[in-house]
Amino acid sequence: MFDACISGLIAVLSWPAFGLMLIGVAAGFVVGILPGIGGIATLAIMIPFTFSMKPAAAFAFLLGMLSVVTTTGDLTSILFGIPGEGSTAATIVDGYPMTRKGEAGRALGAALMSSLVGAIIGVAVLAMLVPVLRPLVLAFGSPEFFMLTIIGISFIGIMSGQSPLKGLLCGGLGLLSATVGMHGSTGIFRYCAPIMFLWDGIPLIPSIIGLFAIPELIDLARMEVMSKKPDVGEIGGVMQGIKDTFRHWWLVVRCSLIGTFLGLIPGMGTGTAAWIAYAHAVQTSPDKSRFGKGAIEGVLAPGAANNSKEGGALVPTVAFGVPGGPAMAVLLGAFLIAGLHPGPDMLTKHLDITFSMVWTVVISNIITVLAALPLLKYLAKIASIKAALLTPIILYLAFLGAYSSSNTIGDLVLLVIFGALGYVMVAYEWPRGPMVLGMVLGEISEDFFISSVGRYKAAFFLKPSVLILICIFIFNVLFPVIRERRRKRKAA
Amino acid sequence: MKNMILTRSFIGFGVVILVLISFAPAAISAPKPFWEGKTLTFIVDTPPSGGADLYARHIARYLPKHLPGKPIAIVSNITEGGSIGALNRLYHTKPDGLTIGYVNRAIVVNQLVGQPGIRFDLSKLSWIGSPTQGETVFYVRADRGWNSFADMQKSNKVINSAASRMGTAPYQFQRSIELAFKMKFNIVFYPGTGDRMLAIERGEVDAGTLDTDPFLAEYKHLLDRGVVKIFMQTGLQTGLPTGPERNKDFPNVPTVDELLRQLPTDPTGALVMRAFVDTTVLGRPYACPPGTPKDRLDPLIRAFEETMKDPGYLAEAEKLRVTPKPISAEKIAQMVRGVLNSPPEVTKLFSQMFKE
Repeated sequence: MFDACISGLIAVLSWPAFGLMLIGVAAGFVVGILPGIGGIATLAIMIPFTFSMKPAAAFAFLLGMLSVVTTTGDLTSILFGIPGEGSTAATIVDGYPMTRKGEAGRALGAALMSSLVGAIIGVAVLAMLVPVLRPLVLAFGSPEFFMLTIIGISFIGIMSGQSPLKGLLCGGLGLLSATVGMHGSTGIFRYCAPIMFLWDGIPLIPSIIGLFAIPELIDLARMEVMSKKPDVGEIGGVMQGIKDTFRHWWLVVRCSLIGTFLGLIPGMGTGTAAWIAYAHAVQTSPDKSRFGKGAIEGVLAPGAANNSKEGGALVPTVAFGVPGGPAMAVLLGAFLIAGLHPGPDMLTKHLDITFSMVWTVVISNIITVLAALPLLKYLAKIASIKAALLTPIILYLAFLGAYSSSNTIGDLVLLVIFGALGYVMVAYEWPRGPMVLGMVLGEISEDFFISSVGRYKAAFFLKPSVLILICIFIFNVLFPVIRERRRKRKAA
Repeated sequence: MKNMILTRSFIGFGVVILVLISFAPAAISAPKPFWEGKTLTFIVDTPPSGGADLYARHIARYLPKHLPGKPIAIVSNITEGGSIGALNRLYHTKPDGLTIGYVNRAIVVNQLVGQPGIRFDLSKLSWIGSPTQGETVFYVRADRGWNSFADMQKSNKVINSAASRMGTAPYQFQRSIELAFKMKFNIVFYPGTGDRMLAIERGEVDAGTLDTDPFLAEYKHLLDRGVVKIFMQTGLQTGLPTGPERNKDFPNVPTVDELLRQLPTDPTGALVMRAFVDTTVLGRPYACPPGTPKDRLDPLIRAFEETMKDPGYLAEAEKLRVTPKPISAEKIAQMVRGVLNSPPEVTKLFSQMFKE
C-alpha cells in the first residue's frame, strides 16, 4: 500500500500530469468564483480533452479542477451572498454578515484554510480506510441511509437558534417543498401537474440563490457601500481567519470528518455536508446567538465539510462505480475513457491510480490556497465598492447562476419567488438555513424511504442497525434540551 | 459639373456591375452551405453526467465534421420535466435542421399508454439514427440458489428486483418478465443506476436489469467475482427467422426469444415482452423535430451514418465501451410505429404496469 501511495504521488508530480493539474486548478478557480458556470457542467465539457491522456494525468486535470471549485465557491458566498456552487450556500449564513461587518478578509482566510484542512483530512481518511472501504460502504443499506437522513433532519431544530418553533416551521416548509414533483415509485404528480418545470422537483440552485442573494441585494441597494469600514489590515484580516482555523482546530477536524462520512453515502454528501456541519457548529457552541450574525465557526464548519466530502465521495465512485454526487458521475465517464473499471480493482490492482487521485485533491488545494492568499486582500476590498455599482453586477450574477440550473425561464421565475420569500423571512426573522436543510434532505430521505419500504415494508425499523441509529437520533434531539436545562439549573 | 458627376456615377455603377458579374458564377456554382457559421444543438434529457450526456457529447464532436458547412455543435441539457419534457421541447422546436434531440427509448411505451404531459407523437419525429442497438441483461444474485431462469420461474418465489422510477426501461423490462413468464416481482425503486447496482452487491435485492454496454463497462466485476449471474439477455437483433443472436460476451446466456419459446408463458404477456424488446433495440436514438425539410434531414442522416464510420469516432467509442451497431432512421421509424400500433390487449397490459 505504501508503494502505491508513493507511486501515486510520483504520477501526479510527473510531467505532464502536474502541468495539467495546474490548468485544471486555474479553470476550477474561475468556475468556482463565477456563479453562472457550474463546476459539473464544466467538468463534462472538459471530458473530451482526456481522451488522449494517461489515467493519472486525466484525473489530475479533472480532479484538480473539481477540488478547487468548492473552495473558491466559498469566496463568492462570503463576498456577495451568492452561492458560487450549490454546495457552498451554508457559508453565506455567517460569511456574508462578516463581510457586512467589515471582516471579509478574516472570513475569506478562514474559508480558505478550513477548506484546505478539510480536503487534507478527507483524503487522509480515504487513504487510511482503503483496506476496509468496501465492507464499510456495504454495511449500510437503504434503511440505515434513511435513518441517517432523519438524523440530518433533526438538525433543523438545532439550527433554529432562539426560536425553535419558527425553525421547525421553516424546516417543515423545506421538507414540503421537497415533495413537489413526480413521485418516484408511483409516478403521481404532486403539486406540480400543469407545470412541467416542476416535474423533477423544485430545483435547488435557483431556490437557494433566491432565498439568500435577493434579500441581501435589496438590502445592499439601499446602502452606500456594502461595508463601511472594510478590515484591510496587514493582509486584509486574512491572517486572522487562518489563525481562527487553528484556534478552532477541533471543530474543523470534526466537521471534516462529518463531510467525509456524508460523502461516503451516494447522493447525500453534495448538498448536505456543509449544512449538517454548520448545524453541528451551532449545536456545540456555548453561545448560539452569534450564529447568523457573523460567527467565525459558521464559516469554518461548512468550509471544512464542503471540501472533505469530495474525498468521501470518491469512495463509492472508485470502489463501486456508484457516483457519490453529480460531479462524481461525470468523473465516472472519465474512468471509462481512461480504460479503468471502478470496483475492487481500484483498491488493489490500480491502487496507485486511486492514490494519485488522493494526492491530486491535496496538492491542488494547497496550490489554490497559496495562489488565492495574495489575492484575498484585494477581494476583501470589493466590500468597499459603491453599492450602486456592485448591486447590478451581483444581481446579474445571481440571475446567471439561477439560469444555469436547467437553462429555462422557470429558473428565473423561481429565483424571484424564493427571493420574495427570503426577503419576508429576513424581515420577520424566520431562519432560512432550516428551510434549505429540509429541501436538501427531503428528497434524499424520501428516496431511501421508498427503497426501504419497497424492500422490507415496515419491518426495516426492527433491523438492529436501524434501532441503533434511532437511539442516536433520540440522543441528538434530546441532548441539547437536557444540556440547556442543566445549564439553566446551574445558573439558577 | 452636373454632367461630370453623372458620368462618374455611371462609371462607378458600371464597375460595381462588372465586379458583381465577375463574382456571380462562383457564387452561383458554390452557394454557402446551410450549416456554415451556424450552431447545431443537441438536446439531452439529463444533467451533464451519466451515459446519455456522455454519448451525446461524443456524437456532437464528430457529426458536424460530416455536415456541409461544418457547424459548431453544442449540447443543451434540458432537464425540465425529464425525458418527456425534453422531447416536448424538441417536438415543438422550429424544424430547421439545427436541433437534434436524444430520445429516451422508454418513452415509446410512455406514449403508448398515454402518460400525462406528452405533447408529441413519436411516429411523426424526423429520425436521424441510433449509434448502437440496445441490449439488456437480466442479472441475479448468485447466492440465491437458482442456476437458471427456468429454476427461478419454477421456484414461485417473490423476486425482489431493483429498478429506477416507474415507467423507466428497467421497470418495463421487469414487469414484462413478470407478465410473460407468470412470475411475481417486488420491484424496489432506487434513484440511479449506481444505487441499483450497489443494492445488488450488498444483497438488498435478488435481481435487476441493465443495458449490456454499461454492464460490461462498469459492473463486469460483479460477474467476474461471482456476485451475480446473468440469466437472460435481449440479444442482438439480426432480422433472421432464428431470432436474436446471443451477445458474444454472454454466449451461454439464453435470449428472451429463446426463453419465450422454451418455457411456459402467458401468450399476451409474451406479446408485451416482444414489444418491450423492440423498444430496447432502438438503443439511443436521435431525431429532429417533425416536418424537418428533406434538404436538411437527408444531409443530417448522411452525416450521422458517416459519423458512425469515422475512425476517430470509433476509436473514442471503443474507449467509451459503446458497441457500434448503428440503426438506420428508417428502421427506427418502422420499429416505433410497430410498438405504437400494438394490439389493444398489449396496450392494456402496458397501461396496467403504470397503474400499479
